[in-house]
Amino acid sequence: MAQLPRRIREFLGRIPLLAYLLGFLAATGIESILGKTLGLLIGLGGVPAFFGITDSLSRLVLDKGLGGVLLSLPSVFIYFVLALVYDVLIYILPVFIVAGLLSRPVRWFVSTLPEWLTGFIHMVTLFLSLWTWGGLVEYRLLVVMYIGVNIIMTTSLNLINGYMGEFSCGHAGFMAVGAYVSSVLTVWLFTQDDVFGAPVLRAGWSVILFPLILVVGGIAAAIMGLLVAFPSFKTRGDYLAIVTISVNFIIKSAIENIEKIGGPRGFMGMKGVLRTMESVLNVPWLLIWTFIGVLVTLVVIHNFVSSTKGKGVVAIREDEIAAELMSVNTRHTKILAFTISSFFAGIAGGLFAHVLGYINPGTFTIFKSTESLVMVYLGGMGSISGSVLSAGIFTLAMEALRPLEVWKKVLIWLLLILLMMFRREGIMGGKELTDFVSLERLGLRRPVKEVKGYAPAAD
Amino acid sequence: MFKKALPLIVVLSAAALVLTACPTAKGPSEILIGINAEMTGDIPKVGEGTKYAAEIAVEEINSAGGLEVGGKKYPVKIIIEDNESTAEGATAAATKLITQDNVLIMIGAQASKQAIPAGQVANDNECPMISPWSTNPRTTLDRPWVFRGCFLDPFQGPVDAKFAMDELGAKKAAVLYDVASDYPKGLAEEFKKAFEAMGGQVVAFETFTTKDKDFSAQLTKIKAAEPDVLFTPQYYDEVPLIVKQARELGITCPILGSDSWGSAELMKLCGDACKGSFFSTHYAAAGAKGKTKEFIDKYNAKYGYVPDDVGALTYDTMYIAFKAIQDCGKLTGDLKTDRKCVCDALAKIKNFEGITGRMTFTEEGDPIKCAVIVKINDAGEFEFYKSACPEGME
Repeated sequence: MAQLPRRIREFLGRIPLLAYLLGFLAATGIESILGKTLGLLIGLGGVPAFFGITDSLSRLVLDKGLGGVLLSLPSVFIYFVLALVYDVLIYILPVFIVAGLLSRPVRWFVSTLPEWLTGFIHMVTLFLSLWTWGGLVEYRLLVVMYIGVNIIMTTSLNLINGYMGEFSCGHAGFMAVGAYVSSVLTVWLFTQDDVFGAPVLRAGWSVILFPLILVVGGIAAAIMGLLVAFPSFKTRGDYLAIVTISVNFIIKSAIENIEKIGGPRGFMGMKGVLRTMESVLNVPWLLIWTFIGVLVTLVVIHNFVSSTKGKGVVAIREDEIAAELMSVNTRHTKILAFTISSFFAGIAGGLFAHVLGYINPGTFTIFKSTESLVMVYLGGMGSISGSVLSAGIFTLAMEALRPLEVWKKVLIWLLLILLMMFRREGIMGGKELTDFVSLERLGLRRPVKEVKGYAPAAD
Repeated sequence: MFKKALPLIVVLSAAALVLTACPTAKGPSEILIGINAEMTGDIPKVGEGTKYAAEIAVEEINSAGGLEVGGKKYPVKIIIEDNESTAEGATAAATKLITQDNVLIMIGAQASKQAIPAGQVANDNECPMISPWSTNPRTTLDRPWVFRGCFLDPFQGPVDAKFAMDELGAKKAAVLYDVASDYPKGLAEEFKKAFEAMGGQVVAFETFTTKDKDFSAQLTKIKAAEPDVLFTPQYYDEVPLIVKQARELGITCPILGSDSWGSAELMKLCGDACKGSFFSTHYAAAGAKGKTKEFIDKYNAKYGYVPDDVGALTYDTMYIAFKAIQDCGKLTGDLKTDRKCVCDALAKIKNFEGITGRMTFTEEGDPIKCAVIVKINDAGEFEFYKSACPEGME
């Protein structure tokens, strides 16, 4: 960045976030019109899914030994360069041009609005751009929803493992509870099913009740969390890890033995629910609710850890005895945090079940829990923006590196080891994004005083 | 800024106009087939067999100049996507193959845990899919776009029961299965139902959970019940443990298994203990003739081991896909039309002569075909013992 001429840097720094978002929206619009033609024209054979990373890697020849890998490297490189051309033309140029052009009007526009409305407009723009970006290739939409589910999982686990400093490793168990409760409810209420028979309610209800059922799934998971929290917080330290692992296994085995919901064969029919909802109004319901689910999770957990009660959570991490002395009701605080965390895991489970359309107990094993743990430590303990970033990066990497097959896992865990060696605190290291860029500068909050010319922060 | 950006915008919009005016490619230049396989995870050997068999089939077609459809030869290209042996991996892989890579038809996923969600994606996106190996009825149930290349559990269970009763002369059977895995569980239940319906008695119906390594408690119970046959429909990695422990405990009755036994790995892990056991499967490698032998030899020469049933079924499935594409008569290049055409052609396939036997698709997209009972002979080979066909065939 240091080499960039000062003026450009200043200019880019002054562009509000909303202008960038509008730029991205414009880029996705351009892509949905021109993407395919451009992709074919420069020899990509279509629209690259994730900026060309997956497609270039799939040109690696892995099963012919080192020679095969080396021989295929040029074609990987050529494809990568072509994809880069595509990315610049379709994404980078439009984003910066549109953002640059809209910088001034947007800044003026934002300054006239109340803050809550500004936030709302940001979210709507982000949602619309994700929708157009994902709508072009359905595969992207799926990955965006996986990322959403993982953000909820990671942030909620971060509350326990990051903010509270306890070690919970059975998060997938609570996810399973939420997934099963909400899918059984939706399938029972809204679709024709072998087990539950004809739909109980009319199709119109599905649209209204879907979010409520997700919440019911969350509550079921929270109750489960509460049941776990009561005995396990009588102890300290490693015991929680053991208890949560056991709970993960208990929940999985319990579901396996309930014939009514499919046992080990799994449970399905959730796609029928989505079709019912789409028959009422044809919008991407699942994307909408995943998006809202993520927002609610982030807001609730952020507000919780910033509240008086939530400060107690951090105090417990730092020193439990001192916290107790400072009048923090540690037992109560721990149980509350754990219940909130399980609640959101349940919500994530409900969304996940409807994204996949099929769940089986084998999906919610200790491996799924480990994945959430990895994302928490990758993003940094006690950082919400870290959790969001790492869930995004990890999920995208898992998808983008899919062509590498076995080597994918080697690479990802290797990266994790390197991260632990050189940056043990994770990507964000307990800080939030807002510690680096102020909300005022992003245009999310009005500056305290109206400043003409809006000077960028000193270097 | 606006002044500076202006020329750039003009250039870009001009380029945009030129680009949209350009004609897009007409008709497909090649046929894309997606393979959704378990390359990593619990059962990588299944993924490997799928990949190798598919590659052999494609090589055969391409060395003959490609697949001839409506008088024109198209080269066939496969795109292999790893589903990590998980449900969400299979969903992602299927979505990628269908919506991003724009394959004409998808082969896989293999195991039911992956094939059920993958079939959902295929059916929702109206892309034909054939799972060579998934035996769970739900994979194809109410899904007009999804087919399979093998028989189902409700067929295999009774075949095994009948074999135990008629050929092994068993009156009392014991069953040991994994309660946490849908395939063994379904098969065990089907076996029990059929065996009891034929007048037999299931004297022990014992369960364990995936990844258990010690079966002595269950086997001791089974031994006390003195069965005439032990039926254990487990996977190739569990069978050796079960069989060895059973023999060590002094269970001498014949042991009967299902098609999940038929992996190239089984005899490596099991050694002498498995010799003399029987299992029902899709084809027998030892003593194979004709096309089946050709495939086995080709596979063995190229990859150094005799292909298991996954390989053989995948090979058959590839040829079913080729035949459906050929029957379609014409490829328009419009993916929606072509996929519909291939799907319709698949549903019409009758008496397809594959290396795992002759098959005809039912309305549900399941083939009517024979099962084979294989005996593991003293050389450790899977030897043809008897074939069992559904009523109305042969």
